[in-house]
Amino acid sequence: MMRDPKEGLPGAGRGDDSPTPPPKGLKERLYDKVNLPLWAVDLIIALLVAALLLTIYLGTRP
Amino acid sequence: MKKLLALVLAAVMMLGIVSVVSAETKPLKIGVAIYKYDDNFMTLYRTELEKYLTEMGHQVTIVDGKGDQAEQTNQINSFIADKVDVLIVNLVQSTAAATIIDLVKAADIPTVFINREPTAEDMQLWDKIAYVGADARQSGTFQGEIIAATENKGDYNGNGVVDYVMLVGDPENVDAQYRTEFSIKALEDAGLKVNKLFEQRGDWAQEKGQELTANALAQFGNDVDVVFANNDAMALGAVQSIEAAGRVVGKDIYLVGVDALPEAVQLVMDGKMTGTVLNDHVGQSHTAGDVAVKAAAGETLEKNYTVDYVKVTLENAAEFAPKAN
Amino acid sequence: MQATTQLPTGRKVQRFITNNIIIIGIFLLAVVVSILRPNFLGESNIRNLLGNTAIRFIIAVGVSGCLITRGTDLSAGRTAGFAACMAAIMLQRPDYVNRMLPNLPQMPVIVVLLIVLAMTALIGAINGSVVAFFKVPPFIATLGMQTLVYGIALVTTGAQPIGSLRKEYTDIATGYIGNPIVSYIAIIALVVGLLMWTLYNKMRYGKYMYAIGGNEAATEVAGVNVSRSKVIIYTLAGVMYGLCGFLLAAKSGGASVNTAMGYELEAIAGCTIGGVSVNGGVGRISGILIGVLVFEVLKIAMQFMGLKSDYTYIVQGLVIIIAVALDLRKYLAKK
Repeated sequence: MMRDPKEGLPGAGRGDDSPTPPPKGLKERLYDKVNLPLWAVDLIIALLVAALLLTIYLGTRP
Repeated sequence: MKKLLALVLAAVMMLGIVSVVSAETKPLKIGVAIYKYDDNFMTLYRTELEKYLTEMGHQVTIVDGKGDQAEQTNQINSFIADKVDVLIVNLVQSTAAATIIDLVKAADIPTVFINREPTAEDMQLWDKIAYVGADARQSGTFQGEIIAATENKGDYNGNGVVDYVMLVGDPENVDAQYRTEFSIKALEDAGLKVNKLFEQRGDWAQEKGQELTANALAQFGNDVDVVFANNDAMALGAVQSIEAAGRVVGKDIYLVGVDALPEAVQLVMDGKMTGTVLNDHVGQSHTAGDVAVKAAAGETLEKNYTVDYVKVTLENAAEFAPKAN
Repeated sequence: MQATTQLPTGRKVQRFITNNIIIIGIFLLAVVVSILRPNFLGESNIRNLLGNTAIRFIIAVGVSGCLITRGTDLSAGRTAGFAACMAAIMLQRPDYVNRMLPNLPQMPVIVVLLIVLAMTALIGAINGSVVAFFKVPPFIATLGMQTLVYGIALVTTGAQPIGSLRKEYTDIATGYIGNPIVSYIAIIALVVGLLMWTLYNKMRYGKYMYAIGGNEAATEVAGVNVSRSKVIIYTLAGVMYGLCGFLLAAKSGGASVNTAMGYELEAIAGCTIGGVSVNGGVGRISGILIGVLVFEVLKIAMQFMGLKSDYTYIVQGLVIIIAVALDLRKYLAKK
């Protein structure tokens, strides 16, 4: 190996928390397309959790 | 005149003999559609069936439906196009019977259904079809009867009730449904009270059997009297968890499976399993072969040919003991 | 991004919750279940939980390398299953009448382990080579391998289950040090976790892996032999699957051609919940452990609650969707 490519590699050291943002992959680009305001996402999450609790309730009735 | 008569008689006799002989030994082209090749029982079954039919001189082609009814229907269509004399079909989904019957009826190819049973209505759709199998209800009933016949009638913890854990195969499968239902029904018919502690699906798999039983024992501990497994593979997994939990089959817990796999029979002989139920693949495959030959010869068929299961417990396990490979 | 030291405590707590909401959710679930069913926290159950998690963790760690480099490995489950079958065949009890290979000599358990790992490493190496040198998309390459390995397992085992294993082998699954909770399997998983953590964070292997996932072209330009790295990554993944299968057969008391079928799906789901991005470049060993733990705690909790089998699918599916939704929310909140 001519020179050690450890430094200057994209995404180097991703194994632990680091202050610099991770590379913008496909997932982030998809997330960017989501035009929902934060409260709408919260609402959807709340509905999903409600569905989860309902399922658990229905499934544990004798 | 006499000579002519004798000649004619001889010719007729010859014709008769030849036709009888050729009817018996005329090699048939037989198509066999199996629902899934990696099913233990069906592997034993199809190997025996192939051996039986090839020894009779017939030409047999067996295909793997891979658990996909659409795939199997395609395979059956291929057999039809190939003009087989008779079909033996192990349906992926019993509910698909009507469609298949329509296909074979249109092509006038007699068909023997094996192991996975079409409904009685479907069997009425044509007279050149038959079902050969065991009554799946019986396998469950036998499981229950094995437990009911034990000394303490399946009640180790002494509370007068058989507290049980049920390891279910996969719920869409009629065998799983019947075994789950009829094993318990047999206990109730014997006048015993039952209490379901735990019932979860194990998908016929040994690892799941181990995980589920470990959970059940961790959850209910010594309350568990009996572990029912819809098949031996799950029971074999259960054996691991029972031992790991320090329980002893035959001393403080019972374990029953179905299939009489060689390893399970060995465990029954060693006292590590209470019992299993033999699904008689030899009896069933031979009957299926015989019915297929009859059907190809145009004989009238019965709707149902039932082969019995056999209970395997300590008393008779040695008969079914695994033989060296 | 602003420095975090100036945030008031309230906001800090809020951030902590948002970042770790999954693990907090599962923690709450465990608390609720253990109140309703005290045996949930019993020694037996914790031991079972750790055993199940250990096995799933090992296979997830294997898949993670492939995911981090923007690939995937659909052959994981079948490879582990194949390993389980091979190990089982070689470790059957000599006195068992129906042995699959009656004339096979008795080998020490560790030798069998090495043989099995060599086999699965080879499978992984082939996967890696096909992906790296023939440029076949990992999805297709490993899908093909999945079917191939299944076929080989089917032919070699004849669809018969293999059991009656030697006691030294099954003892690996039941053995423990001191307390039953500290089972051999849990220890093995811990060691694997530590080794992989070192590999991912402190060694060149890891840096290259994340770099390839982040931006493969740039990494290639920077002088890294990307193809070689990929082959090594997939080979190491193969070793993980082999270890998983080996332990699984010991734990279950046997193996068949259907052992570990489909395990790659839960492994990928566990990795994703744990923060491994399927789009490359991101993923932590600790996250993988948490993701796997979430699934296993959920599974056991559902059984303790007596949830009917059919409903477990809906619950697991909802949990995955909620996890993704929370991840989305975290991203949107940061913007």
